[in-house]
Amino acid sequence: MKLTNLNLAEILASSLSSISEIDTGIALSPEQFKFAIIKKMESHSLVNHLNPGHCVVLLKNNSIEFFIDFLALYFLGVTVIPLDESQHADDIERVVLFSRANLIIDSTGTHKRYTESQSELVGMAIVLFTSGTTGTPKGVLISKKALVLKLETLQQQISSAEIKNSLCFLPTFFGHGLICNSLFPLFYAENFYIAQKMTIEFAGNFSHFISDKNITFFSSVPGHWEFILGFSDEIKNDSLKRVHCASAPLKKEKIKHILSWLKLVSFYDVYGATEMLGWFACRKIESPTEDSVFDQFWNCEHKFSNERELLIKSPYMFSGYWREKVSTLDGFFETGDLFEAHKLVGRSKNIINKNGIKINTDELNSAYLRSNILVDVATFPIDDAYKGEDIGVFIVLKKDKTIEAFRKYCNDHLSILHYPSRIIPTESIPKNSRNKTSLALLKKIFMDIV
Amino acid sequence: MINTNELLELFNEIFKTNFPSLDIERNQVPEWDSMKHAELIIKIQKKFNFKFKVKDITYIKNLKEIKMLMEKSITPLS
Repeated sequence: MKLTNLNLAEILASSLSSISEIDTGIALSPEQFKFAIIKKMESHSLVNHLNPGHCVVLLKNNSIEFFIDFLALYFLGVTVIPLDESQHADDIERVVLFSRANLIIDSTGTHKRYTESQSELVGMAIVLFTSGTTGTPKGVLISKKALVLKLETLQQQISSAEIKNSLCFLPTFFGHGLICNSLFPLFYAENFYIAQKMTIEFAGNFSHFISDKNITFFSSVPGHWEFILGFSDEIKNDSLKRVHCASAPLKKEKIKHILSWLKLVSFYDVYGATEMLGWFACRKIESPTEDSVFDQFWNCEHKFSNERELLIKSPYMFSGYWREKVSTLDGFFETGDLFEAHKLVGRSKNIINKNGIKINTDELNSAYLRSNILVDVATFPIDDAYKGEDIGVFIVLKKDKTIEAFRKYCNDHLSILHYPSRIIPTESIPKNSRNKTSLALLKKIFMDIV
Repeated sequence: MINTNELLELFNEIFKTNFPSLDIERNQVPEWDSMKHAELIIKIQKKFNFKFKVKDITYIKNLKEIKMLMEKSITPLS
């Protein structure tokens, strides 16, 4: 079915039977949902005077209210900037200042900020900020056209039977949760269930919930499976049709336990990027193997650079980074991931993949230096069985400054996501033979220390 | 009775700390987030061969509570 802006509203009412919040038990019929969206559109248009070219920071993560506001703004042509409500206020404010947001919507209400519209936002549905909130915010611009094409692509890959009763516990401030695991089922599923996040409590009831609601589909990141395998009983019925795991590679041993838990359910390792609006490749996992060979690419052209970096191009890709000049290489997005014969083997960019969230080490370094406690700093990834990777940091302290002062700064000013797991004080940052810092070298030195 | 030293050793290993006693509050350890809490519980269950009730472990605030729960309501794994 071809989507246009107009019939998105029709599709919303026609396919959806219910939208439910797991944590509160609140559930809406499609008529109630559509009515709430229309009322919100009136409010945003007549009271808040929002129009195309305006943007709104939306903070009510993983709630029906979030989707009501999101869709109201979408249908008005206003750009939505979803952010993590639990992140530090300084980080949120940095994005508000950068984006010159006209409105901020959080759990306490709506708050007006700037009044002017920005021409570069006309036609943009969403701006997703990557880990850049720790330094200069980095906004991925997603056009309405790309979003519609993405949803159509997903519909071609995932059947209506598979998507019928969908569950999302991924955050709605990232592409994976917002576009792939929420907007896609909202437009194509019959029943959509949203949870705040995976917790021990939720995991304890997980298999019962799957059975009670006949859940057919959910997506996940590797860290979620620690909770599910650690606290959930085995699934009871055969409603589950398809499960995805994305954003970070899976260990063989973990795959073995997941397949055992899932029994005969189709399990896919999916590969995506914010810049590609989420998943664009996958491999079906039928046996425990760590060979991340992605053999299905969805409506996109791919090639490899001389350095084996995967380059991707698609009609549904992003429109660039906000206020940055060069975003692609001849129209191809540089993923930063290194491949050998379609097998993911490493990473070229300075990224730490913590629980499926990609954090740029340069931006972390900037954030830590802002403490005024350090002369020099270098962050690197530490392997973590639960998070995939966590943050390690070598620091050179200023005279009379202490590690405790640095920890306190991190605690007071940074989100838990950016808090370093291991802090190693040193006289000088380790460098390689070319006098450069490399993540691999830092990681090796750390492993030698521990 | 749960061996305090073994419990403390496991905690320090997971969090890379050197706490000398069980007087450890969750809010003292910034890394003790929901993910690390799950890891702690799962590893305790494996090491001491029993299972917590989910309702008991969600709101744990310190390590002493964990030991108390373990000694009060041990459900041996079959």
